[in-house]
Amino acid sequence: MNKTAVTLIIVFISLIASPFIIGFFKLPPETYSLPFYGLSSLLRMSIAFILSLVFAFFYGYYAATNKIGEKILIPLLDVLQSVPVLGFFPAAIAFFILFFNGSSVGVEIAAIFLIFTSMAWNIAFAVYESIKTIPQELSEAVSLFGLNNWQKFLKLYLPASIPKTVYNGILSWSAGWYFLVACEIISLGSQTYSLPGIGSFLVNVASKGDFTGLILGLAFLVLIIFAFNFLVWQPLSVWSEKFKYEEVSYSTQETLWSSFFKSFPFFITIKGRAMQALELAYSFFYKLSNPFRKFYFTHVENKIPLIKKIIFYLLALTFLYLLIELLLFFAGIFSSTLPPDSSLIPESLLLSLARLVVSFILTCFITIPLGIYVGLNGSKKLLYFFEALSAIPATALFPVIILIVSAFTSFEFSVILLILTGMMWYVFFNVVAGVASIPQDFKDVKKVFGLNLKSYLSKIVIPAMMPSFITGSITAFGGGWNALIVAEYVNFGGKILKVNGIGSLIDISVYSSNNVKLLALSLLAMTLFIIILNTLVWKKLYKWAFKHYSMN
Amino acid sequence: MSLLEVRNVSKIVKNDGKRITVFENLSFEVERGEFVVMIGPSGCGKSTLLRMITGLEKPDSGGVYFQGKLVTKPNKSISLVFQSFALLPWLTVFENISLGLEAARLPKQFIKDKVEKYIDKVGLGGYENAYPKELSGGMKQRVGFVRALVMDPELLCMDEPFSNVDPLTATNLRDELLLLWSDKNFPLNSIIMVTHNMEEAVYMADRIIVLKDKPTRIIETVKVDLPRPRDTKTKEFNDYTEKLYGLLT
Repeated sequence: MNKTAVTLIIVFISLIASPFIIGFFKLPPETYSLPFYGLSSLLRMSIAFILSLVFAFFYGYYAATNKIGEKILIPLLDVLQSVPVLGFFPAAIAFFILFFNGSSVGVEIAAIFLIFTSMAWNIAFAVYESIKTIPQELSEAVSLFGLNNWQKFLKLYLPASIPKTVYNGILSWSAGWYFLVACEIISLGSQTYSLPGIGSFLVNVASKGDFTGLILGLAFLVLIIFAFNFLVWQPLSVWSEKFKYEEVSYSTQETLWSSFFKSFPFFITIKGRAMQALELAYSFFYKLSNPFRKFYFTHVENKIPLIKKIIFYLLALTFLYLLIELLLFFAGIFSSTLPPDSSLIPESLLLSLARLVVSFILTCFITIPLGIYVGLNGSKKLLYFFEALSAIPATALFPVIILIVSAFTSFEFSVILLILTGMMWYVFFNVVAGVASIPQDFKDVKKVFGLNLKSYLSKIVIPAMMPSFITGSITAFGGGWNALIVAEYVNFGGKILKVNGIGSLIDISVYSSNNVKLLALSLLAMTLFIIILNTLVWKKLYKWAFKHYSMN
Repeated sequence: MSLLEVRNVSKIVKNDGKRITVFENLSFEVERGEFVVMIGPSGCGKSTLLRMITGLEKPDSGGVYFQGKLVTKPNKSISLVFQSFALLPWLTVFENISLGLEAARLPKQFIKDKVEKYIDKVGLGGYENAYPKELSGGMKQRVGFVRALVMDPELLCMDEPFSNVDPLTATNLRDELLLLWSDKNFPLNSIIMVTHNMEEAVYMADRIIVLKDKPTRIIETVKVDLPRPRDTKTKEFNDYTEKLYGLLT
């Protein structure tokens, strides 16, 4: 039996046995419900992910195959991706609770909606780019052989999208964990509506100062994340290699499943049976769908261009309608007297920006030397260690940080630390990737000319990592804005901890004053501020870095 | 009436806002049962011409007529073999070949029988479940041929089909193709092949259309009057290749 199979068994056993372990060690009563909390968090994630996938395929396919649609949808996606989603969570909660007449279903839907917004854009881009980059001769071959739209989708667009969708899906999934935990924490802000889950569990035990619970909760969260990665994502990413164009025989990399079947050949028969059953079910449903397909091919197929046109006009109209509604809404706000607190907005924005900058500078001091070291060292084990560490959603560490740090110094210091945890991995992994991609030739230059460490770093390493460092910084600031919303205003066991800033202004406007106007104005100001910052600073820096330091 | 008529076709491409005429008022015919080779310098628009004939691209003026009818979109009677093979990497050999038959929603058993017949004919037997990535260039192009041939095309277009295949395999493939073409049990009728290899042109063609660029035009049509199978070592064969060299350089 090999190592991976053993890991698999351990993961399985610990998942099943966790309630008994808790019972055996006579742990605090709330830990009994940990598996339930974990599963409800996982369920929330899965629903959001499936929704994102469906959305992404519709959106990406439409944007990639319709020229006018593309001109609207892709810039829109760009904006959606750069807006800090968490800022909209209080608004989403308020909206959905209103919509569901105060029922807690509203909070649940708001959370799923928010996790969805943290996952969907990225996957939609993956589908769009995959379809756009299909080699010309492949789409020619497909139209040459007279495939209809549906066949084209099944045989070309769908398989061509799989590698990027899986890759971005993994990124979206870990972003999802971050937001899931954040949603559960934020929803505690409005005491009456809380989401049962691993995130709310962590805050609850932390606010009681229960260290055992906190550590158990974190361990359980890490266990779920790792189990899911090993059981689902790693096999999926190995499988997705099959759908790449490169002329290499596809990976024979082992997955937990492949080694599981190797160690227990008995299960291969079961798998075979299961596959047979699936095929039977498939052909049964295929037959059932015969009349529908007949209807589709005789009545719908030839109207696809018309349907696409209708969808386009519907989309354009909805978009226009929403835009006008939004403009009218804000016109209404601006024409009446502004809420008194709105004068705080500019100051709050600047305060939050200052916090971000401080966190960013700290991030650089920590992650650049560390990243350069790991990148030059090239040790796979070291990289795995950091990857494992980064798999813990930073938001899950918030209660720990608040509990420990706030006990010693001011809350301001923990806020900066919290933002830092939301920023550092982006910078770190980009620096590592940048340094690791330095060509061997450059490393040889160092040896041949006998460069000392100082000139090696300043002449070769730092310039070489510049483009990916800038990319990482842009994403880090995106993450920072999100972290801000959760960090600046915390409800810690009924005790409100806050600092002045745009994040706390947004939270306060919902939870303590229920001030829709202030909320809308804060969101508008923050969104505009970030878009301006992106176009004035980041896009220029990005261009500059690529022009001066790109390898090609 | 000729099987295929290309009448006064022109193609203009836009490059950096400049309009470049690729070719203007190009005309030629392909008769039933004829093997026509188009030869010319790279970048002269040979591939574009083939794509117009198959209906993948539209000429800016003039038209392509197949059996007297204007070609506006790809149709089952004209098929294409790609230079880069253009096999879908996620489908097996069998699935790649049956792509067009499946699109036509033919019965499963019929598809299976037909594909098997061709697979045996070109020596792909045993590779039905392999993926393109696992095949050599020559085997891939065999799949490309069979995928086009199972559609029973009356006209087969080939865009430098042997240029991504190693020379030895290419020699075998050429003979296999000629064998299939002369086999009266197969409905394959006429072939247009694009190449820049002069020996290949003389070896395979009934008629060679020689193109020259800037702008692209037909400078000569060479009829190859040699008995098949052709021997590349003879003086007559050499005379033809010499003539092509003279025309093209």
